Formats: sequence, structure tokens, C-alpha cells
Amino acid sequence: MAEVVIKEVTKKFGDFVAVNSIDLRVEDREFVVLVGPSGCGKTTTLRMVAGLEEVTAGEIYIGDRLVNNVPPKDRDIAMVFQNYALYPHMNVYNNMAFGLRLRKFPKKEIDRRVREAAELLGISDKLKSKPKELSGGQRQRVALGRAIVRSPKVFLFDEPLSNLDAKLRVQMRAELQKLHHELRTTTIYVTHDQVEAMTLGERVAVMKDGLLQQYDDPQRIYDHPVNAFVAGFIGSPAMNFLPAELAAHDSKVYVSSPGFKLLLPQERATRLKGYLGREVLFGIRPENLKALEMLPGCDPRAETVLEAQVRVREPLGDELIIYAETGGAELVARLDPRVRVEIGQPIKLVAEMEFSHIFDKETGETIV
Amino acid sequence: MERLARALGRAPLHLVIIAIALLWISPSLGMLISSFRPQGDIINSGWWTVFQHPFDFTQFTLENYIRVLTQEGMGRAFLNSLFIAIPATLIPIAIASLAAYAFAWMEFRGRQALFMVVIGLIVIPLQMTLIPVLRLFFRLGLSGTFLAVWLAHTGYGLPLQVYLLRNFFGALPAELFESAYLDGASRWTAFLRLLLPLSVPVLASVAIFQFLWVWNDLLVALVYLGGFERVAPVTLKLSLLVGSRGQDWHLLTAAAFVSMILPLAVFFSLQRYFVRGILAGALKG
Repeated sequence: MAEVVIKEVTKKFGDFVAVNSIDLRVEDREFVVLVGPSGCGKTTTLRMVAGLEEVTAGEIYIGDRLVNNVPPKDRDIAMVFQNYALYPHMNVYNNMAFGLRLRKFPKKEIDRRVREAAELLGISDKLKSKPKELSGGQRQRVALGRAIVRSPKVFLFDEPLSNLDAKLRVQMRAELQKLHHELRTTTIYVTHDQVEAMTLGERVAVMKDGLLQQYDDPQRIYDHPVNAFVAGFIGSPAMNFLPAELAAHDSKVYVSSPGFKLLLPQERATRLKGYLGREVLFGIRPENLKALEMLPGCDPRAETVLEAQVRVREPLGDELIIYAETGGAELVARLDPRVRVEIGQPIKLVAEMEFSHIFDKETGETIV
Repeated sequence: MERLARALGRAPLHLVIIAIALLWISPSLGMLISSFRPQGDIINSGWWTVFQHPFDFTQFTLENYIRVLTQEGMGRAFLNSLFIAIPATLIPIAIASLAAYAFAWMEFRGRQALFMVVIGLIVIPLQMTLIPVLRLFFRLGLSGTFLAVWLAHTGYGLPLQVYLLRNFFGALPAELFESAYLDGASRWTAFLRLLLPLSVPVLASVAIFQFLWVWNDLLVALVYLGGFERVAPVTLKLSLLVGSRGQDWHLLTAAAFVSMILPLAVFFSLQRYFVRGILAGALKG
């Protein structure tokens, strides 16, 4: 068990900066997810912690030890790869025992650990099978087992679920969570899937273009994204971004565009003083748009209502997703499935402005 | 019914293939049969006449084989050939697999340039090297020794082997090695316990190629060993026999078969690897 500290770490491949001076502290026993689009540097960061890539600048600590120049095998970490990287010529037992044998563990101890891990992962009956005889999910478990038996200080996961089909992925996701609860090993987990990030991470680090965008617990990232990129990346369907202008009327502040004019709550408005009259990005999540017809008490002329033309409707049973257009901008709303709406017809939506976001149009930074 | 129709549909193709195979094999078959016939019979009648009484085994004899192996020195030559071919197969493969591992999986300065040089060496005809290498061997006092032939075959075999093995090794997933390093393996352990077991098919096919090439080689052995009986491999011995016993077909056919028997055995016993290895090189295993 140990904490992992990444201090101003930079990685360059030639002139290309893959990871740009990131700072990250993973507490002991914590499960941290690195998430971002492909090419954002998350895997490179993980590989530097593993020792598979050299650090161009900065420092990496595991526990109290500076590991920049420590070879991978001496870092006391275990890694699970996207394609499992099982040794094809060894059976499951030997795959798991390989690392322990190289570390000269006594035979009895190896046997005990392998059987315990196999038991924990439900692959006890597969110990004699070769990897090619196993299903994707079983291979994934063997890869996990190989990491577990070593009882390392840190687990590193590199997109471990992305080769599984959708159903199995959900199942393994739950199992990973359970496993972490039992073992409480410090874990760094890389994924491009924001759902995995949200569900697994005790803290989530969002990366883009080699830069760390935000590092916080999942709910705070969801509720208070630091910029438009994080806001759009986390959440599905993604947040709506509508170009708009901030307009003031009688000491009230409105977000206005050709399609709508929406009143901002007073406490938000005060923080926007400097932006009045300027163009901004108005962000609102699909679930913060409600159908007016489901809110009987709401005045249809209220200053938080907008009208849009429905273009696509996706009934999912428990919810209804609609894609609609207002004033040339497209928006997505996640509605109650009982809402009656047809393609091509107008719909009145109420925006929950207290949950809206205003971003700087140039920098994408969150203003409120 | 459908099956029968399909079998009939393919019958002409099969007949053609069988005919070609028979045509192709007949010289070897003739040689094999002749080698078991007494000298008198060979002179008086063609080898195909044995099929007039196919079950009359008295028309065959082992006499020719006993004679070439014992009195004509083919036995000695056979051992010489083994003594040349086995080290001349193992040494280059041991070196080539290590070199290919380095070319495929180790970062070092000039790796690409060095590899280009290795590829370049493939196209140099070995005849060009005979004189300079022989002079070198003379100066080192190696000329006429088995060591000289081993070294020569090692040199001639290495470039192609390094190239083939590097391509196969390079196609293995990098994560396998990274995983092994994290598991605590050194480069050497990864080579022995991961790379070699995974490369058995391609190693076997490279070994077969090299073994057959060395076994069938006459030129390299003749040049570096000299034409001495004492050290002559089967190929050299056979060419000497053609000179001294050109009329004695019964001995020449038997001697020729002695020289062929091992390559045939190697090929048939390992052809599974052979085919797989060729495919493995081409299709990423």
C-alpha cells in the first residue's frame, strides 16, 4: 500500500509533448481514474508510473520513494493491459505464478496465493486451461489474478474493459469495484469511457492534450466542471453548448440568442458583471431541460421557457431523449417518457437555470 | 448423393495431380529401387521390371548399402556430414535469435542502420566471399578444420535468419514483454521463458532451412575443408564416387540414397512446423 505522487511530470516524444507538466496525487488505498479522449496522454502517464516510459521531466514517487530511475520490476506495481497480455504458452496457473516464481517465492506460498486469487475471481476450474481456451471475460480475470497474486503496492489498469462486449463490461465494472473494496490497493485506472470513470473512480482526473484539466471526485466534476471541455466530456448525452449573449435588463441578467432569452438566477448574475454584453457559451445538461407540460404549476410565459422544434426522438423506456433545434442551434433534452411529442412539432422546454453553466467563449473556462 | 457428385466433379483434378506426382517421383523411385538391386540386374534390365513380380523379395539385396557404407567410406562421410551440419545449424540460430531479439525489442543507437546492413548482406553472393575468407582462414590456421566450415555456414546463414526472426519477434505484442518485465523478468528471462517458447514454429522452420542447406552444400565444404576423404561430407564423397566409380550404378544409387535419407526424415518429421513457420513469418503468427 502506498500513495503515488506525480510531480510536474512531462513526457516528450521528439518534439511532441504527450504529457505536459501534470501534478497528481493518488492517496493510499484510493481508486483514481484518468480519463480523456484518445491521445490525451493518460496512457503515457500510466506507463511512466509503471516505468515503461522514461520521464522527460518531473518526479514520480511511489510511497516515499522517488522511482524515476527504478526499473519496472522493482517498483512493486502490477499492471493490467487492454489486451490482457497473457503468456499464450502457459496455462492459467502458470500465468499467475510466473511473477511469483521470478521473485523466488516459496512453492507453497505461490500455490496458496494463486488458488486464493482464482477463488476470488471465480476461475478456480480454469487453472489448467491455456489462454486461448478462455472467453474474453475469463482472460480479463486471469489478467486481474496475475496482478492480485503479487499483492503489489499499486495496481495500474490500462483500459482493461475496452475489449469486452457491452454486457460483460458492465458486469466486470461492478466486479472491479467490489474487488477494490476488498483489497483496498491503491489503483490508477485509465479509460476513455466517462461512464467507467464516473462509476469506478473515487477521484477522477480529466486530461486533454497532455494537460490535466480537472482532478476531483466524480460528482463535483459533473456538477462543477472547470471548463467547457470537461463539461462536454463527462455526462451522456453530452451537455448542450449554445452560443449566446449576456444581456442586462432592469438589473436582471439574461442569456439571450436568436432562439431564446432565459433569465439567470440573481446570485449567478452578480458574478457575471464583467461579461455583460459579451458573447459566451451557455451550457445546460439534457436533464436540466424539462418539458413544460409535465410542470403544471409553471407559467408558459416564464422567463426560463424556450421553444424548440423536435428533430429526433429516442424513447428509451425510462426516459425520452429528444434532439431539437432552436434559433439555429441544436440541443438535447432528457425528458419524462410520458411527454407527448412528435417529430417536426414545437415543444416548450423549461431550463433549470440554477444548474446552467456559462463558459468564456474564447478560452472555454467556466465563468459560473 | 451430393458428396458423390462433388467427388466426381473433382476427380479429373485429382487424376492430374496424381499423374504429376508420379511423374515427379519416378526418378527418385527408380534410384531407390536400383539401389536395392544386384549389379548384374541393373545392367541387364530397367528398374521398372521389378514390378513384374512385385512380391519376389529375392530380387532385392542390401549388399550395395553395406558396401558403400563400409568399404567406400559413405558411413564415415555420413558422420562427417552430421558433425558439420548440426553445429552449423545450432550456432547461427543461437546467434541470430539473440540478434533478432535485440533488433526487435531493444532500443539502441544505430539499430536501424545496423539492421539495414544485415539486410544488405543477404544479397551478397557467397561465391564472392570464398577467396578472401579462405585467405583469412589460412592465416588463422583454420583451413581444413571443421571449425572453419561451421564459421563459414554461420556467416552465410546469419543475415537471412536475423531478418526472418526479427520480423517474427517484432510482430509479438509489446505488452507481453512489458508484462514480463513488470512480473520481474530480466531481458534474458524474457528471452528464454517468453520469446523462445513462443517462437518454436519459426525457429524450427529456420533450423530446417539451415540444416538442409548445410547438408546439401558441396561448395563451402569443398573450399574450406579441401577435398580430403577424412573430413569429406556426403556431398563431397558422392562427387568423389562419381569420379572413381562412374560405371557402378549399384553403388552410386545406394550412396545417393544415403545422402538423401536424413533430409527426407527431417522434412517429413518436421513438416508441420515447416508449413506453420513459413505462414507464421508472413502472417504474424
